Amino acid sequence: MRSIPPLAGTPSLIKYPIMNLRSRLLLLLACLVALLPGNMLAQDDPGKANIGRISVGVIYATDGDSSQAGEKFKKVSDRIEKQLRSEKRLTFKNYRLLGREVQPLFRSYENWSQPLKPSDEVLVRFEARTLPTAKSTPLDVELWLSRKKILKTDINLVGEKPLFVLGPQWRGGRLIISIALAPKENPDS
Amino acid sequence: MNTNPDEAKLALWLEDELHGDELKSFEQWVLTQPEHIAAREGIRHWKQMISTTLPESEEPPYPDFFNSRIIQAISQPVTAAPAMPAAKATPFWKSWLMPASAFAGMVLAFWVGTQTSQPEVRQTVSVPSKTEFQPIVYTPDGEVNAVWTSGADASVIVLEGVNPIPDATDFTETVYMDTDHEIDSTAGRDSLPH
Repeated sequence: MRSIPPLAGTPSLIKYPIMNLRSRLLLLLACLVALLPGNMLAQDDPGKANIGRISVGVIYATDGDSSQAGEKFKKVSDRIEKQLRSEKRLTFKNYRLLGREVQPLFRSYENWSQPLKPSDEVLVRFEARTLPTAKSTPLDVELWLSRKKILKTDINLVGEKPLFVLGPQWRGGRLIISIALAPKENPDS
Repeated sequence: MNTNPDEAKLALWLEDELHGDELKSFEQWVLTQPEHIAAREGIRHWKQMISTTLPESEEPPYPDFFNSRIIQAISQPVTAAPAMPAAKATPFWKSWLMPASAFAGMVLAFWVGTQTSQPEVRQTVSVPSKTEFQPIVYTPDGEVNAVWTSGADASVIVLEGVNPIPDATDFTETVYMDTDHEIDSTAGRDSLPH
């Protein structure tokens, strides 16, 4: 079979590396645009404006041996323990913090907190009901346990006053889910 | 065909300004029109009367005086408008004293207004304390009961009837996520139960 000779006037192969370089640059630029973080592209989205920060924690409360939860878990802070002991139904001998997560509160989008990550045994969905004021932050809250919606409520979070949900039993104790406004200075407290 | 002579020729004939062949040809027609003949006689009579009462030409009075005035007006240089009398220089203290005094007057008037306003009426009526927010608690599972209470330090919802978490469930692998980070929950919904 005869090969077709190159036509006169065909661009020489010397030009091809230049074209490849240009196309590579364009491809690289397209990849950079595609890999831009979603939050950078969504900066113009007013619904994603951060209007607050919500701290969700899970506390293991027991009258027995607190090491049943595991050795790694530490005691809750004195302030949280005092708040827990101020409520009769939440009074236990020992408290251990199993997990905690601080999530932003978006203006119009819902948000999910997974305080026991990677476990999805406890999930909290929250959403702003109105714009927060200096006195309170109105929220719609859902509590999911074992991938099942257990509770739906609307709350007003005020200052350092959290919402404690006395939840399921586990290893001789109860799990307490805390939902509170995250302090600006020290969100870990 | 229009047999009537035009108005222009008639006007010229009335003024005795038509001559030559045009006059001859025009008079063949116009001399048969007695009203035009009467009109021309009237005009001739009027001209004669004017010429006897008014001189043929009259020179304007004092032409030399007239021309000399014009020449004088042209040759006279244009003098600049008299300058306005210079304004008296404002004293330095007046330049800032007047705005300062005006400002002080405004402040004084405002202060007097605040002092002479209606006396403060102290509210003696006790305002009823705002009732505490009562949340709506809903449990989709009919076997679960939720009770909400509010204390001074915390609000509490007690869940009863929730299935216990198996003791085999281990949370020791829990990763503390104390640092906040944005998670696009809308985009990540697929990984969450519904």
